[in-house]
Amino acid sequence: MTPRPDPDRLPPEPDPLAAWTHATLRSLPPPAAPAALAGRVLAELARRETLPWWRREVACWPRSARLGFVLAAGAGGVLSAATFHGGTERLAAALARLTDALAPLATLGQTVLRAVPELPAAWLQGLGFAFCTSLAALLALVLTLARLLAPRA
Amino acid sequence: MNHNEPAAPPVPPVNAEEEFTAFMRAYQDTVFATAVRLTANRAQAEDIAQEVFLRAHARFAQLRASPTAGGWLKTVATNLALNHLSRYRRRWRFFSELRRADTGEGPGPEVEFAAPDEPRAPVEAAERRGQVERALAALPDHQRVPLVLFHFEDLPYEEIATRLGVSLAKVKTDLFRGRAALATALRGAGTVHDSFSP
Repeated sequence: MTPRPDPDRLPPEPDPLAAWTHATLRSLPPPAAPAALAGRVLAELARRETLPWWRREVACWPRSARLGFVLAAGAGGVLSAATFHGGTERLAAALARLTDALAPLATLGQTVLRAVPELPAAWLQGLGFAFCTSLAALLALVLTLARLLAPRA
Repeated sequence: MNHNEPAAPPVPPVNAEEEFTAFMRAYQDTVFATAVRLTANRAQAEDIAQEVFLRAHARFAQLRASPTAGGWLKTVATNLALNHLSRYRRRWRFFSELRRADTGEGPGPEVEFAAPDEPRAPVEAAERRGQVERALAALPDHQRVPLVLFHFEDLPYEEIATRLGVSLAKVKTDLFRGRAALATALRGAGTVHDSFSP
């Protein structure tokens, strides 16, 4: 007498919908890539070749630059550790010195704030216009310098 | 791993650029197909394929003679496409929880389909392939992506769940709904003929 197979150990019944989907999708040929793809990749590679080393990935930097970067980062870490090694007292003293240094600026600010309500409205409008113009000029200057120093390839 | 794993570049190279160009020509359809099936967007797929080959160029010294270069390229293309989808389409998980009237829970729809290897005239076969491609691309991301990963990339359920950051049950549900939606769309397009009840 042939033993009956254990139903729990039988392979699962194949799903007809899954089998149909698999066969239908696998019968599709791969869509052709655009003809310009290889040209695009080569053009991008050529563009990247013209970039200065410091605008490329760190892995592409010259060995001396990578070494300098690691040394600078290490020095920064050591400096930070040394600064905070003395504990909170040294940090508090540093903050106190900073506060003392900024005290004249705070006084000046308070004086200006007290004087502003006394100024005529026309003066305030003129000052606001001058401030906005200066800000725009500064922004334009920064952008121009950035473009001059780091031209896009 | 995949049925359309391409062979190594057949053209002997002359210089480095020509060698890399030949490498790209050999694999570009595979890489592009992976990306376009996952994203359902040709422009995004082209960007992804470009990024894949830029990364391949950075390690071309290892890839140029590697028999697994095709698999590496497909893996990178899959990862980039999934990253792209998760970055720009985070909402798809939310929308996937919404119950669609045409793909809701319960017994699957009455589906009729034809055997895929049924002999057909070339024009009819090309038209049918186009209908399947369009129906696949029209599926929502949460159904199309598991379908592509399972049926084209041969990933098991568990890996699909891990890659997509969803539960195994959700992967199985989305796969079932995606297959049913695909069959329904093709039945609507007249591509499915034979009676079938899942």
